[in-house]
Amino acid sequence: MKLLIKNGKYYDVFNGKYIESNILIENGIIKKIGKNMIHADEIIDAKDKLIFPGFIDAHSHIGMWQTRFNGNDANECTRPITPTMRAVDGVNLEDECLDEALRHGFTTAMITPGSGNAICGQAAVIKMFGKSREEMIVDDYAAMKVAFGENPRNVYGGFGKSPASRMGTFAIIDKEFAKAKLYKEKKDSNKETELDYEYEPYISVLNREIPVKIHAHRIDDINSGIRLCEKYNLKYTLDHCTDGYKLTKDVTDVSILLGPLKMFKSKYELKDARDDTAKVMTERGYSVSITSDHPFCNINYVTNFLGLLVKDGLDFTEAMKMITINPANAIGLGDKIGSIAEGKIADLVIVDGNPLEMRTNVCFTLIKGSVCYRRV
Amino acid sequence: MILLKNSNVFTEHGFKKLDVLIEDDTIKDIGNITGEFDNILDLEGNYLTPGMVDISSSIGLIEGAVKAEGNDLDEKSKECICDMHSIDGVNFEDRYFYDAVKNGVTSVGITSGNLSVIGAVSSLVKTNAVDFSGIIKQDVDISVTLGEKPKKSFGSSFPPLSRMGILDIIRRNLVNARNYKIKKDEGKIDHTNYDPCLESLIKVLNKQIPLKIYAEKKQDIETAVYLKEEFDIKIIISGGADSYKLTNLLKRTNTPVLLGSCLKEQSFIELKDRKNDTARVLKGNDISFAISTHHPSITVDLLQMSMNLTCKYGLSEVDAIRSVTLEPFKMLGLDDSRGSIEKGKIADLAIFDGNPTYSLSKVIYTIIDGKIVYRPESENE
Repeated sequence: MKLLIKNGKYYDVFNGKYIESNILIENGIIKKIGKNMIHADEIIDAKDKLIFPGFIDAHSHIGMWQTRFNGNDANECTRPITPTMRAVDGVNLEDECLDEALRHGFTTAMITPGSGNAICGQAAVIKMFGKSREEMIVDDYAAMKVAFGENPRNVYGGFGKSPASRMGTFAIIDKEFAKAKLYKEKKDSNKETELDYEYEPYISVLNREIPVKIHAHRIDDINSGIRLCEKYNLKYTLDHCTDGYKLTKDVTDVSILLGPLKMFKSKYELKDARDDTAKVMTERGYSVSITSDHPFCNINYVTNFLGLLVKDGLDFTEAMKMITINPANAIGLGDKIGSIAEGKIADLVIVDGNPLEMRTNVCFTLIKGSVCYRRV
Repeated sequence: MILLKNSNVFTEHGFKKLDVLIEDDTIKDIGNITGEFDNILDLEGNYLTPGMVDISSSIGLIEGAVKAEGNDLDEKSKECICDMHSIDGVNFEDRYFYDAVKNGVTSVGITSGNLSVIGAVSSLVKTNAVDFSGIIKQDVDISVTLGEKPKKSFGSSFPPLSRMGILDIIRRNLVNARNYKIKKDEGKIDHTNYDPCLESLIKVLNKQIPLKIYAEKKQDIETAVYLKEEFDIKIIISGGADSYKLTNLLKRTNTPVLLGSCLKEQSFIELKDRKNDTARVLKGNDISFAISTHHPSITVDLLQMSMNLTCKYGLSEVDAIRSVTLEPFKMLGLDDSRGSIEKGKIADLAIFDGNPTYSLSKVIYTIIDGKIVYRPESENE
């Protein structure tokens, strides 16, 4: 099955340039970019249109905090340590929000358990469309989420339990990682034969195969997360990172997953949120992504909210990276998605104008080369 | 006097290249104006609109980044609190006032929360207000909430628990107000039976102010319209997610709709059937409507983008801009002095670097009462 997108201009996210070219897709992969291609089973005429890599949301609860019934399947606040909770077990892949996301150009999301627990559970990577569950779930365990700050202490402090303070939160997380490390050592030395259900999820984290997602808003909480990860030599991303512009530590190799944008400052730890955090951190050399934290920022309008940052002085080229290649790298898929190049997966969005403008329309969304949204 | 030269000025027929002269707090003249003035802004290529207004927001009542200490949204004890005035709970230092100014919103109607069935009396204030001198009009409407939100506000053993209970509270209070009014006309109100709630509701019965009724679902909008007919009062439907289903009823009864922003995600069950093109449908049926963020539901700085969304789904640019300028003032009966760029009206204005129906167009000046209260360089205050 060959699909040809012709007469359009595609966007090079690395150089911030539009390039006039045809794109040939075969078996879900971008096979060839160039001119003079005419033979294909299906042709999309992209005249006067712009082609972007499908947008990526690296921190979302889409499908887990469902629309319609207010069903929250993202938090299991019965105990503060839940490394075995899996986002994929809480997601409804038929949630209409996924269709809405497609209509607004989003093709991939990392979904995570909520931040009510200190060790929240396992994040997954999903596609917004697929013929089967297997096709939609790209990776059922792509990161482990750990939460600092107000949420865990407010939940358990509210029950009169621990953690009721930031000290308590750090202590119980630290204890679990210490035990996990002992479990791993025992396992590595072949002394342990039985799999420990509770500690097994830490193995791939301690092996640096997958990152820890640090939920933190305030600078002290961000620093707590960094301290934990340095202590156990973990890979990590800094999620929310509201106070990120205050960071003094040199961690520019870490992905910063900012968001949700433009949410009402409903809690105290959001006090110092600034609209120029993305700009400031980019200028300092961080790899910044913008995330929806859906439903806290409506995923449909993430691109438009990003446009507001551009209005306030963020560079357009940098802004486009924040919903394409940067989140792709953050979720470990930078070699497969996030830019338009031969050999990459054909997740594409075709629009009729600046994608950050509210009045621009998404005309086509493609996932693995199949058209899964077409504007009527 | 300030002369705004060469901008594209928003008129009832769309944008036209005109000059606008401001004297004190008033628009003095519009047209091709020449002469010597102390302050002339050349706005070649820019767009001038009336300052935007959001008549249902809770800025200053619930402050950003502060929890209980900053939340004066609800009284949390009574199902009818129209003896209270929202203005008495406002903290003018709430940062969101500044965000409103920066984004071209020049007036806001401060509205209490949704816990009580009959809320506080709302006030209209300027967004650059620092104290009570910033009040445009103290009593502009009384907010009322139908549907799911007020249910069980005070626990499961106190009314209201159901839509029946909600309506019982509203009807009882309006009937009491009607009786109270008769007594008052007869001079029979003294310290033993004075009731400030009913005093406020008399203004509604006299059609001096409307009830601003929060209703999203079809059944709740219908209920609100029946109340209007039953008591012969003025109402505004606030929210109005399902209003496109009731175009005949709304048109026949001449009921205006203050649409909630479609930027809000739809997980609240009453928003289930909301559609993005409702504004266009209402316009097509000659029903008057305006747009509100219902801050903090969506923050007030997104009013422009909420308006842009209606354009994307087919509303004309003129009608879209009117829905955040003239139309809301019409609902409150203040359109004779505000809401459009006309000689003699108050000079509340927003100046954009591009067509404001596009979300990437940016406010470069905000003018309130004829004074420039925001300009790009004031960002680093």
